[in-house]
Amino acid sequence: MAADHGPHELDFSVWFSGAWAPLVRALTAFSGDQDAATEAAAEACARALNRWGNDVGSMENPTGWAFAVGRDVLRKQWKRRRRQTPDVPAPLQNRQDSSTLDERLVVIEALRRVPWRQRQALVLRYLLDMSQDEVAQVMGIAPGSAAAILHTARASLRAALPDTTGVEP
Amino acid sequence: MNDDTASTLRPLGDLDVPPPDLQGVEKRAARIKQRQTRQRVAVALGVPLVAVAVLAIVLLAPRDTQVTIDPAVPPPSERTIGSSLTGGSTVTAPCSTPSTTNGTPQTLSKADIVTVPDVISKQYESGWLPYSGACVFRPENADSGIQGWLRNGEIGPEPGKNQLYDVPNGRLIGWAYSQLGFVSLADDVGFDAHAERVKRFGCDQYAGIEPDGQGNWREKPGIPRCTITTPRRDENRVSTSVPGTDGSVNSIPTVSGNAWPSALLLGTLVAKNGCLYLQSGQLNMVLWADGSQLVDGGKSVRLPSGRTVGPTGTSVQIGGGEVPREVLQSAQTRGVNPACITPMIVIAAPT
Repeated sequence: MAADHGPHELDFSVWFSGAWAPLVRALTAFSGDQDAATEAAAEACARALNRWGNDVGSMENPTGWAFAVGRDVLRKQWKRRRRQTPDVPAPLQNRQDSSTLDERLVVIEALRRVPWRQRQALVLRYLLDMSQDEVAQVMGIAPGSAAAILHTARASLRAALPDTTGVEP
Repeated sequence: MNDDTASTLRPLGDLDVPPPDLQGVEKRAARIKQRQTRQRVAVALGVPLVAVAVLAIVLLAPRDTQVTIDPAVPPPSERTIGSSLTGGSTVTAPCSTPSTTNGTPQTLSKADIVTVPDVISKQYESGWLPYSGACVFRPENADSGIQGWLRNGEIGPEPGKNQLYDVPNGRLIGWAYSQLGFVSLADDVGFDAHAERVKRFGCDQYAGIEPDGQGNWREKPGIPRCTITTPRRDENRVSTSVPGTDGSVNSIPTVSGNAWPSALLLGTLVAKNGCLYLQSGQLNMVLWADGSQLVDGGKSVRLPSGRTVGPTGTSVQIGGGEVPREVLQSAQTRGVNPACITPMIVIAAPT
């Protein structure tokens, strides 16, 4: 897909091939649902493509922008789903012995129990390897606030993880 | 701590994801563009349409006229006098009279209107007479006018001025001025009917009479009768210089019944094109009481009481009242010449 972009801009296809997998993983960690995350990532990348020549292509961190778009797509889906099926998934502890579960599922389940803003900060910081300033920019908050949220998020994740994962506080 | 979190989340970094599908993303991007284009077109078309609709509503909305139609009193175009005399209310208010509603307004259909041959007699017996007249202060609304009810036999505060009610036994909404029309209560403050009649007709036929204390009117002593009739705004005025001599009258229309309006009608008896009119500003066809006869070679009318009205060309007094022409649809009339029908009709009492 040809796109009008300046000399300082990335080519969309180059960015897309490199950003796709981290974006899907980040949105999966954020949502706990890989299928929904893949769909949201595709939607975010399509919107990025449409705006690539305008502003997204010249951004310092297009992946952060795409994550924010995917996040909003997912949140809209959650709101729709909540109106249709208000039931919340049962907590991990009630299901069964966590030691038998796949390690990824354990982490995802733990992340789902972290408040969504904190979860978002964790995903941006540790899965998309963003700095605190970049996290703050994507979340639309001050860097100090991002640091505070990250601090709280780490504690929340620690509390949400079962001991069987072997993660020490 | 940071390292702990990073190592905790590391398994997610190894999560298998579907391969990037650039073609799929491009197709999705194209669909998004089409959707956005449709939305823009819809907005571009919708905003002017909404604006036009709002403008049309504003421009076409009725102003200054509030009409409440009540099943008891049909609108003028469909009105059969006396179809009902109770309940509800009806006031058309182009004359700045506030309207009130005592019942639930509803749309009136033809089927709701009852036409009864002797309805006018029943109406007079009930004591209430319909009134439909132009507004003195809104002459441009002469077509719609005001509709109300007069209490039969009620003497007004001055000659040619009668109380007008919104419904039978209803609320006083203003005054019915003979020769002039309706004046609302608010407009009546400072209104000089005498000056208005002089202005319109050159003289005031009601200036020379006064109540006699027995429910009738008598001539004021020393004040000459107004015999000059020079209508200035009346399209229906007599064209001859000598009123009452244009054409001979061979018959007069009559109406049966045993109750009559008791207002006092003043005017000049005029014969024109074979029709006998009472001219009080404008020409009014007269429905004479059943039993009235033409005498004096068609120049005078002898009432059932024996009193003679006339001859033509002179000022006369007739008991009775003005009613809209629609009364002909229901009244028991005889000998009505369609060529003689005027917008307002005078029903003459038998005495």
